[in-house]
Amino acid sequence: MDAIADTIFTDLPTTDELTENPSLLTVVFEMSPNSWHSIKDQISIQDAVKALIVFLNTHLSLNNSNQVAFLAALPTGARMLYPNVKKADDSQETPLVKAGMYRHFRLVDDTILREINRELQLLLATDSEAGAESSTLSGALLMALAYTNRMLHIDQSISTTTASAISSTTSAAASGSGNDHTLGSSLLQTKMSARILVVTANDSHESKYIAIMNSIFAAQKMQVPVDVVKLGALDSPYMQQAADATNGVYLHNREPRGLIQTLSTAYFVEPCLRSLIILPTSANVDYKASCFVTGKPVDIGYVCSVCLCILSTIPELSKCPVCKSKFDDSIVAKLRRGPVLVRKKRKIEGAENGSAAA
Amino acid sequence: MPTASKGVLVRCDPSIRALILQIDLTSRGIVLQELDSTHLMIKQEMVQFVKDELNRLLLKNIYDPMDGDKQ
Amino acid sequence: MASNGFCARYIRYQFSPCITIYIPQIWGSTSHTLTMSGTSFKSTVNEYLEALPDVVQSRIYDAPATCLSIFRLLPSLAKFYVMSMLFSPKPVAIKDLEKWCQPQARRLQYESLKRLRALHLIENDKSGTHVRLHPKFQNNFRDCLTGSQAPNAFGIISTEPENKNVDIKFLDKFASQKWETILHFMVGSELPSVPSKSVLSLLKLGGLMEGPGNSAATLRITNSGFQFLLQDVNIQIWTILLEYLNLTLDLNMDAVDVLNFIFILGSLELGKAYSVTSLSETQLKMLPDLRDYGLVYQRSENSPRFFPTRLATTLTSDSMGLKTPSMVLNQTLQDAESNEAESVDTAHQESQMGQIVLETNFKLYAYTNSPLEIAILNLFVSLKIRFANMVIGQITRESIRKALYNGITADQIIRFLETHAHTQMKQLAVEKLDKKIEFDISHNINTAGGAPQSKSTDSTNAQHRLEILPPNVVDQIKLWQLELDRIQTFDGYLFKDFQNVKEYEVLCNYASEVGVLLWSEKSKLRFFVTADGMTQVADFASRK
Repeated sequence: MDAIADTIFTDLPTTDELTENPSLLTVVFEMSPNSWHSIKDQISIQDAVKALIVFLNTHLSLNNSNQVAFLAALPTGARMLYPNVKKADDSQETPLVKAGMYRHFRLVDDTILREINRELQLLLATDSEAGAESSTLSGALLMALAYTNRMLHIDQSISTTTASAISSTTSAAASGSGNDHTLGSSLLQTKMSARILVVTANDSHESKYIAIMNSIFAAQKMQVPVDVVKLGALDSPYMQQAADATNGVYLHNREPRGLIQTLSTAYFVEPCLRSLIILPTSANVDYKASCFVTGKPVDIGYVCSVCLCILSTIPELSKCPVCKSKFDDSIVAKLRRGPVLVRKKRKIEGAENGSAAA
Repeated sequence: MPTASKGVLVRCDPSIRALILQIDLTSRGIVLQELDSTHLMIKQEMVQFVKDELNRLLLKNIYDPMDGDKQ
Repeated sequence: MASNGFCARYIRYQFSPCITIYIPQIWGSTSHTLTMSGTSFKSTVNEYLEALPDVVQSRIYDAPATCLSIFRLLPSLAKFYVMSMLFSPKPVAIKDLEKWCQPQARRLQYESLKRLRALHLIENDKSGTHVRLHPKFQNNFRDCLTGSQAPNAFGIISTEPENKNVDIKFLDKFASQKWETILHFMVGSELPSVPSKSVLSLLKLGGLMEGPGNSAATLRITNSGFQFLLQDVNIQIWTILLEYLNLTLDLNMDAVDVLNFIFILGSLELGKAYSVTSLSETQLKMLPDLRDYGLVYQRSENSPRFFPTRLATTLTSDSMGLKTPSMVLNQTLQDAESNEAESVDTAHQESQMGQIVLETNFKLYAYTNSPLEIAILNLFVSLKIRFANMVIGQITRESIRKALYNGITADQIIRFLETHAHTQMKQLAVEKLDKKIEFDISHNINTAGGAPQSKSTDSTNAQHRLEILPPNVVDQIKLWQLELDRIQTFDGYLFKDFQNVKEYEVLCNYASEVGVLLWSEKSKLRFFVTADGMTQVADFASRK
């Protein structure tokens, strides 16, 4: 051994391998009956669920400590289907997936299928409700972010202790040397990464613009990419923005028959690989905004100088409807007079046909 | 036409580089190329010799607090 | 004490110029060694798999569990490639694979494809321009994901009622008792029972212990054995299992069967009983051995079912193993304590949790009488005095160098000392930190947001770090490690005498893309490549 060039620590300068963290995949599945009905010729909800289940399995197969979560955006509200607190015993009921399947897959898949079936039955029972048109996607997205945040920060130590975390009993051996070692173990703790996949077939315009925007900013701040699979006939500008702002993938899939192939290629980019792989995302994003008061999409509108809310009309009381700050009467009066005058307030411009509303 | 020549690349800090050049002065023909302030190219057969020499030279400059205890 | 204090200060000042030079490297090397410990089990298993003969290699993909486990061992980019080809019926053009990556990822891509080729997971089709997955692997892995594989691929859960209650707690106890018996035996603790013959011969074959014959009394621990003790449990088990795999060849056991069984074990459910009916003859023969290591529990030799323990079910997961190495050591210490004297009061046991005092003058006092503990300290401390309940030693350059030669890293040493620091040292550190934070707040020193490089929220932790050990000792240990690393040598070839910049750039860029470039100087048109990369670069040059 030569005491001067020991090669324990640095061999070749090429060893900066990607550190692979366990990661959390949260799937938000939009289940409004109308939208799935409209694309029934292309893909049934069953086939989509099957593809998603396989996709979840592939994610779990990546790493033993990988986690998944599954949320459904139903007309009646957002629902967490997996992990599910209510259901702990799966042994009594007849399993929906083959018993010979890999244990981790089996537990996840079985719960999700069972819960989806239950929700679909509930939907059938309460079909007559008028709320079928409105989507609860924004709520589900926020729920997904809240769950992600919890997993990343609060429950991290619990969640990443391998697949054995399923059985919540902590290792008897480890608990013996418990509290004094929190320091030692915190030194070794690995960081978890997370991403969200939104699957939606909804073609109606999302009405909850503010909620969507807020979730986009939250995702951006948490560095959680939001991937979007858009089925159906139309693009969804807000979801496109969500993917664009969070370095996610947005694809409008008009041919969803080979959904699993699309999922396993275009959407299979782990957060640690995002910087290395060229994401299959389109360049022109429609940065459409919508009015805070009427909820309609606007191409040109007014912006409150205090809280930056977007308005399609000049508010009645010359007060901001969101932050209640008082506007200057003279400026409001000028604005009311028409577009001839130079505007003090900034305009929001859409990427396309910007002058239409002027 | 570019040419390729065989050798051993040594990466070190400038002080060690200076020491290696010092060694080269006393026993000729170790260093093939002086590349830059932190890199040298030396003969493959001489690598072990250079390391041994460096160890010898560096050991002179080490202060060991245990020396006092041993005496 | 005054003179000792002076010594410490003197050392610090003497080495301070080095500190300024090396600070980036200190942090660089820490992160490097940390990741290294995380991936080393992966690489050893991978090396083993790659070295298998082709015939064996293609046979191991017959089992879905093995496909899944091998997939998990791949680098992330390789996983991405496998996944993108998995559901595609047609071969994929190599050019397309390259198009998916950013240019700066070229090297990772090259390494991923190399790994996939070495494992025969991808193969070129006839034209040579397209690649496809190994057909058996593709089918099996796809079936495994869609749940349409053979029902016994992941073991058959035994449905017969178990009369004795075997719960997870019991299994954990069984596993740690078995495994710790082995660890204790290695350091020569007094034990009521010695590990079985097969364990002993494995320890000897693996070079962890040495001595004449195979009897328990004559074996002595080796340097690599000590290093083994400082590893993660997971890595320890893999070391033993790989040794076991090598042994199977001599015993005329089918390595494929053995490997499959190990991988199946990694995918079983903790706390469930599995039937032995689905096992092959070789695998049945393995059960008693695995029981000796604490990987499976069987009530009796010919019981029709077995229980995997936590050691087994976490085999193929390397992140966050069962316990950290120091926790294991603590655990063993505690157990040793309770084994030796059951009646010892709990207060005394608690004091065993932290028993090392380290002073700024590099003197170390350890309140322990455990042979394991002392043996480990002896790895990097020159021990001077031994009392009934404590040892006194000094950390010196020579003692640290000795440890480094044995492959123990500075980080391992520091982590060990930190986790075993005396409770009073921890208290003192906490008090000091609190005072510092308070001072900073009251003087409005914004250490968190002020520094330009602080992007993440954990920069507060970086500024206000809990310093349990004297910082000068920590720095010095790291510097001693770096001292071993003053020069790096690489065999290779120097390219020079280029006609023009363009010619130089083409070749130099290629070399850096495939990751064989070690050094380059554009102004003088010369660069240096590794010996391995020489043929590649020469090939590329002649193709031009």
